[in-house]
Amino acid sequence: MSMSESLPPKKKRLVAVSGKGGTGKTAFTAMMTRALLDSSMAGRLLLIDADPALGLPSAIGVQVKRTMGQVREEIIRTARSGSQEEKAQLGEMLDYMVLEALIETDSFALLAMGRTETQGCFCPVNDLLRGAIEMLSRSFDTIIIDGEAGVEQINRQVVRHLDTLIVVSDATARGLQTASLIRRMISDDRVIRCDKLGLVFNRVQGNEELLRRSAGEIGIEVLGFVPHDEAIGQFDLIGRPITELPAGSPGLVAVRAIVEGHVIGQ
Amino acid sequence: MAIYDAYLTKLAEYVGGLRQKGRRVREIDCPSGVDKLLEGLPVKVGPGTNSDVILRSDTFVEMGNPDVGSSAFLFWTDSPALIADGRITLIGPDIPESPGASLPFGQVLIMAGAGLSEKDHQKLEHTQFVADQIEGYMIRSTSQLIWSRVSKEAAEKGFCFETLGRSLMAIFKSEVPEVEAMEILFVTSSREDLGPLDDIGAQVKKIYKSILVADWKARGFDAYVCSYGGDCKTCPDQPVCDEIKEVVKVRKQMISESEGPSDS
Repeated sequence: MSMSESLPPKKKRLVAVSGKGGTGKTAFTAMMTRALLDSSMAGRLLLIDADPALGLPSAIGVQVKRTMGQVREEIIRTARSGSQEEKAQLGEMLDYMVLEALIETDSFALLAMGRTETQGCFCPVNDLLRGAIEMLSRSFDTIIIDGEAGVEQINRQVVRHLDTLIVVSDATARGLQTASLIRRMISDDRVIRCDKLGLVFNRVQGNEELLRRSAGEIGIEVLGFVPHDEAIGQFDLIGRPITELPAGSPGLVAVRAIVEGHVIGQ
Repeated sequence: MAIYDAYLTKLAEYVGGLRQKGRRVREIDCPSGVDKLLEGLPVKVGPGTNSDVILRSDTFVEMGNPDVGSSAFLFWTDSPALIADGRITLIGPDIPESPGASLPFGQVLIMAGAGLSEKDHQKLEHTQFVADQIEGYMIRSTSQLIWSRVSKEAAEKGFCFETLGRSLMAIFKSEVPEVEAMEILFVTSSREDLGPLDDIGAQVKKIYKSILVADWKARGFDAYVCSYGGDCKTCPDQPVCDEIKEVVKVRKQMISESEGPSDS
């Protein structure tokens, strides 16, 4: 199904995935991608890999040639160089470089944020890149951001407002601790504006009631439980894209329900 | 002053050389006036007519992708008699002949006007980035490189190089009134054919750059003046931030202009 063949969604959706490292955020994002594409309701789909580890491209079977981190380096280099002419062209160069960093397949597009090498804050550079990403995002109907544990980097580098933030946790106290921390960052510190916050338990082997109670204690709605699925581990091991999981894979079935209930069903 | 006139000859030699090599060279003559140029065009032309990215899945033909090569530059002459006003020269396949293709792309814009001078060059340079002014046509450009996409919708309406050429001529003639005549060369034949074109472009650019630098020096302009005084000394990277802030400002303005009134 090509992007243009998909049914247009009712409105633009901006969803980010966060949570403690190692809880399966990237595999979850990849399964969410597959579920969205299967549903034909995503419209034009943009995935943003905001985790510097860049795990999402291989999980969805694409290769990254250029990252936004490299674009950032190029901007800083140009602004530092003495050439006025290059600086004057920076505004035009930026859109060229962002398009160069955009990986497009027939069914979705991916932007990899990557690592930033140059030390220093350079807030205006982040402003510039965020503006370019927001401008690019206007061409898409559904945007999914695979983030790292902290949401502040999504705010700093990608967008300042989300419709839904999905926190992925495994069935451990540390996973829930990070989820609680993220909730505080949203509600108390207002690190990023977010309309809906929800928790997804990943690699669950029973104990759903106990997990639901624990989530209630930290004040986050549970969006769903993704069962432990041997196939996901095997796909990861041999480097096969998670998006190629069999349609009936228990993990994918659970993620599909989450997507239908909380992403496209909003 | 005939700063770039020698490059008219070089360009003619380049086209002649490709013709000798058996490349198909097509010449399309368009009318001169802006109204006549815009008459009957299959797509809208003007600010805000194409503000979004054309995604690959919506693309009929892509030209100048960094993987296949591109070369783009412009120059001007103050002798309109030296160019054929309204002439589009196309070497290689036209847009309707290339569904789904990723073509190499060469684009040379030549402007003429008795009133044109070096001070207009910068304006001409900026005018060539008509990213949002031709419906169904997206441009991303950086120094001497051009990357563009024609949407499937525009192609269905009949978008071809004549459409692009006429649109560019109309945009330049209306935005820079000093432009009396204009000629365009498009090359889509092969990456190898772009090589000599790129050499000519590099020479033109070198002259333009040297004129620009001389002009800045004459005006006493120093990009790093801030780093030598005041509070800026506390942060060695302040100039970087200052430059970027300006770009941010311009882009924000550009975005708000292209967005127009919101319907959400």
